[in-house]
Amino acid sequence: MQDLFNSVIADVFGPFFLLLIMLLLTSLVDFFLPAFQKWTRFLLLVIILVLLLEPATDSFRQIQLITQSIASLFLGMYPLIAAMILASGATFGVVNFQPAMLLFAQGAVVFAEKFLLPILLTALLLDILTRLMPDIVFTRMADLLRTSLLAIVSAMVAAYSIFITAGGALTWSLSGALNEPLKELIRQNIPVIGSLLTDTLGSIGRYSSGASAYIGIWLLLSIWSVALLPAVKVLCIAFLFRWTAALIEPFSQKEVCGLMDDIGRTLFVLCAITFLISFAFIYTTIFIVTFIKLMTLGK
Amino acid sequence: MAVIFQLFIVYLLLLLLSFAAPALHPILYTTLFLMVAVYVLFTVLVPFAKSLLLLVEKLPAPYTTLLVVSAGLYYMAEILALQMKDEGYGALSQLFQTVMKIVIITLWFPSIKQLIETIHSLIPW
Repeated sequence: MQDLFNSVIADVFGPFFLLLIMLLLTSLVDFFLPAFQKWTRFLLLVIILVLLLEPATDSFRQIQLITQSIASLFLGMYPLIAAMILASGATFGVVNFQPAMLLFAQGAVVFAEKFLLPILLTALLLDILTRLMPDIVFTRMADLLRTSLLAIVSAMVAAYSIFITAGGALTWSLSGALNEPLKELIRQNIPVIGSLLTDTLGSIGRYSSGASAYIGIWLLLSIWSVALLPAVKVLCIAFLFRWTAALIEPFSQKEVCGLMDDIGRTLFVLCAITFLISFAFIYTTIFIVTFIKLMTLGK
Repeated sequence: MAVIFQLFIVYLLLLLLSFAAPALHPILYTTLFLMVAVYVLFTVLVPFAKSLLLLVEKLPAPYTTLLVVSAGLYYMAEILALQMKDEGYGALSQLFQTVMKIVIITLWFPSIKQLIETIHSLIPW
């Protein structure tokens, strides 16, 4: 267990510490050979991209995998769910679920996979190109892509909140006045997507509070943690990039620090997209669990 | 520390030679320069690079070695090219520098290839 923990830490943190020592070494080399400075700058960028693009691309690949599996899960489940809905009839009056909502949630997953993730990857590529060739600048383009992605994601979250209006008053221990300071904390401290995050969490909470009457609170918590784990991981890696950028800013070249910052910002947007996917997962899972529970209770 | 005095004595010797035998000066200068350069390389530069690499020994990747070795190669090429230019062979020194740059880039080819592959895997289509 200890070894596993250590290896996880080494995998995630290792490249960042490596970067710090490489920066030290390059500043030494620069000091001895000022004529070599142009070269060290380029070589350092190569090293950083080789070392640190790996965690970023890994999280992208993971999210792509998750979206694909959720989309295929839905495609497999949909006929079954439709048959169940047709068979049950009266049960739906109790649950107050909208079947269109399910379609919307899964549509969001497909949309994220086919449209949002490629655009985000394009923004990342543009950032890398800008840093490799400082004469040809794509910064504004990358920023535009990122901000429009955020706008799309927040519009979808708003649509979710419009859909979920029923059954908000049932027991849900985390909602209400108790988590307001927590929300404020998140909103203040997570840079790009803080308020989006709290809104999403709020609407997920409102939705699952309706369901918590039917399924146990521990099951609900476990569904939540399974669904939100990828998002939290992406968030941690994004923070790692931002922290490293802040740490190396005084003594590194401008390109290096800016590149780290850009990758961090892109990962924050990726985290926002991940929340959309997690929401679809939570919705589908709670839907199915509640449904099966009600069906078996009826017997 | 001794190397500094040795270098200075070589410089004085060369100054004397340029007065005593001006015709022989270029060939003597070149020979002496090469000998001193090799001496300095093996007594100062290589041990220094080794101790620098020993400092960052724990790092797993080949990047530190690559960086220090390419900086050393670049420095040697620069010095030799400067010597050629001193003798009036500017074109030859240019050629020498270009070849050394290509050698350094060749050392970095695996890393650059890895970088291109990583970026390629990012391209979404």
